Amino acid sequence: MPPIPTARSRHPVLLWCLAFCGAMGVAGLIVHKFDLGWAGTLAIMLTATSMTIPIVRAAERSARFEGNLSPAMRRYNRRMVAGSLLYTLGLFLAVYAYKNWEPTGALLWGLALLPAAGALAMVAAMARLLIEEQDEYLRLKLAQSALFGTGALLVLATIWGFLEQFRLVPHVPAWAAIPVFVIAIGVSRCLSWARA
Amino acid sequence: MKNRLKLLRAERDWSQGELATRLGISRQSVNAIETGKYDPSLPLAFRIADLFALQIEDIFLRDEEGAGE
Repeated sequence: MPPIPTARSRHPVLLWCLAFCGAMGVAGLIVHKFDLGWAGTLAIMLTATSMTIPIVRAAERSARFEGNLSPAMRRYNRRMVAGSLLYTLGLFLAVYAYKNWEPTGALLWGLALLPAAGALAMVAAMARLLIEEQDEYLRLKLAQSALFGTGALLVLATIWGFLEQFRLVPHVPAWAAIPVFVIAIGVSRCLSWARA
Repeated sequence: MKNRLKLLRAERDWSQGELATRLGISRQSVNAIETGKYDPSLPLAFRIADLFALQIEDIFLRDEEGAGE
């Protein structure tokens, strides 16, 4: 039987999330300020992305403490880490190839879609979690969060789209939909946690 | 919908975690059902009733009946 986590287990998630954001910011600054070569850039981006691993571990400890760590959730966490690493790798390869090889035609189409593979892997992980979660209450909470995320995305995209149409706000690329969706899901879970 | 789950669990000296394990659900689900935040599906209600060797209506009560605890 695994050791019973204590209340302290709940707090490192936020700390690791902040550390992850900080690491991504620092990695971005280093990449822009210094010429590290392709290997150095890739190493630093993968290192920053790999900080999702301690986040997942802390989240699992917290979930175990809350009594809602299911096998489906464990699989989801591992798929999300793999998806985020795949996304970083795909993004790096696409940008590197675009800058250095001047691709055209089908290769350019393929490279442009490369970062989407990792992002779509994360979306697939979310979908599989909803399908595989056997605990009906946890599944309900997941579905509620996903609906909140979808609603928030539709509202923000609609408002932003019209503001952009009238040149009041800058253009936002369409790929921002997934980060907005994920952040909205996070907000939904925080609200749910606060209500509990 | 109110229920007597907490009382039945206490009678057997089970923790929420122990009941959750016996039912094959999360402790959070047990807590949500006990506190009335979540009404279980019919299959889960049958599993709970089977575990306590009771009828569903002996555990889950109509709102007007009240839990009595």
